[in-house]
Amino acid sequence: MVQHLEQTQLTDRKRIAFERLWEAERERVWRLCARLSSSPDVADDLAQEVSIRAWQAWGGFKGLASPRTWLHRIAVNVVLRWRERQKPTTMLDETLAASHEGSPERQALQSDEKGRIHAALETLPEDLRTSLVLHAWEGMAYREIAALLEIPVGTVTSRIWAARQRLKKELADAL
Amino acid sequence: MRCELMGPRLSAWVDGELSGVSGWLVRRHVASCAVCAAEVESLRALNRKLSAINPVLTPLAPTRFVRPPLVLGLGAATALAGITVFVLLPRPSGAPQSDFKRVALASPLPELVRNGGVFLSPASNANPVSVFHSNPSPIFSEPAETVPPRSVIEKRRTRRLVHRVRREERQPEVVRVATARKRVGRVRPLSASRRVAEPVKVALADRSVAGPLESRPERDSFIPPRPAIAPPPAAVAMAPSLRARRESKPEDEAPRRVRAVLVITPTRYENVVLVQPGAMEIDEDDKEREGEPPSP
Repeated sequence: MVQHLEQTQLTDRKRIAFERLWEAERERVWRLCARLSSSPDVADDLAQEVSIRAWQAWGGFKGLASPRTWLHRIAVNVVLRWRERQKPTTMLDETLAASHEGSPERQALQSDEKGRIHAALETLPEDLRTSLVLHAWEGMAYREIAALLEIPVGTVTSRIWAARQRLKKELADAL
Repeated sequence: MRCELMGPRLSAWVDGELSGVSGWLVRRHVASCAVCAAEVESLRALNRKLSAINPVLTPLAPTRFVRPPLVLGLGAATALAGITVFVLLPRPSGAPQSDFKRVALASPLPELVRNGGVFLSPASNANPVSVFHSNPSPIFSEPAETVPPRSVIEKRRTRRLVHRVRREERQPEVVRVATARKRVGRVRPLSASRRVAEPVKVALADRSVAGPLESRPERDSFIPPRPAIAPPPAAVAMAPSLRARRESKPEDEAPRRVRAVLVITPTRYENVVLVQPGAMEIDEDDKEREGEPPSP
């Protein structure tokens, strides 16, 4: 009986701690999902999935990283898995788009600088794009990105540099 | 530093991620290399573009406070009247102008009326999630330093100290203590062959003389008492030479001194054995000091 009560109290404390963490980080997680997925429409679903997965894994959280980093890591994993699932559709879209290369909408999109940069970002590989977006739009330091993606800081540095080089080349080609 | 090695470093430096020696090296190189300076400029231009298209993502509550229409109208009227009275009041000579009054005078009145008396600064219209934190170092405003910054020198000195301490720790502790106190003789050098083949024996001190171990009764209390060894039965025949030596020994001779010998391996000492003085290996230096009283 006493053990059951202790377990219940522990569960309650864990739940309260998770709710506090989620309340504090909900907006950032949503923004991270929106930016990494490039579509705010699906960010709600992705953030919901992140919350479910995080709550399922909350019991096994050992505290080796900060809770915020842990939560963002789950968000990155969820978004990367979502992008993996979207790949066939994206490829089909790209082939369709390539067939309508000279369409007026496409030209209008390309003429806009914002559209050109977004299109160039979409051409980047997943790892380069993730590092650059996390740094440039989420304002994360290299060390935070390294902890989030579980890679060395030197790898983050080279990825961001490579992403910038490719982005510059894409933008020069588009002009 | 060569330019082809500078790419990732330049990118990290533009982001303000390099400090200390690395940052100083990049700053010095950029100040002297036109190609890398142009690269830095292009990276900064790209950063500006990226931060300019930072998408506005506001999933939660709006950042601007919006009042209902009726309250807005009342608030506007009240605020307009209050500000008019406040601004037009005569100011005592010499009194400083308040911040609110300065703001009210500087801001356009229609804007105040539209916002219900709440002054919204232009910054409140900016993108609330624009969080691009680029911290570029001012390279072109200041000349590059020809010597490393102070922190760089201190960092190098600290590293060398740490290395020296680690090297000292490699020496076995017992050997170091014996060397420092110089209680008996010299410690045999630990040659490479003897480290593996033969342990080094170091004679530490006479147990009969007041040594550090005997001055610590609390340590001796942990040592269990030795079991009493039964005397040999009379039937056991004693060797003739030993019997002759025992019988020839005078009765008033002082009790034999017992020496402690530490058998030291390069990493730790394995055993402590009590031996007779005659059975112990003594160096030449030890033989010379045999007659001297041991130093405390």
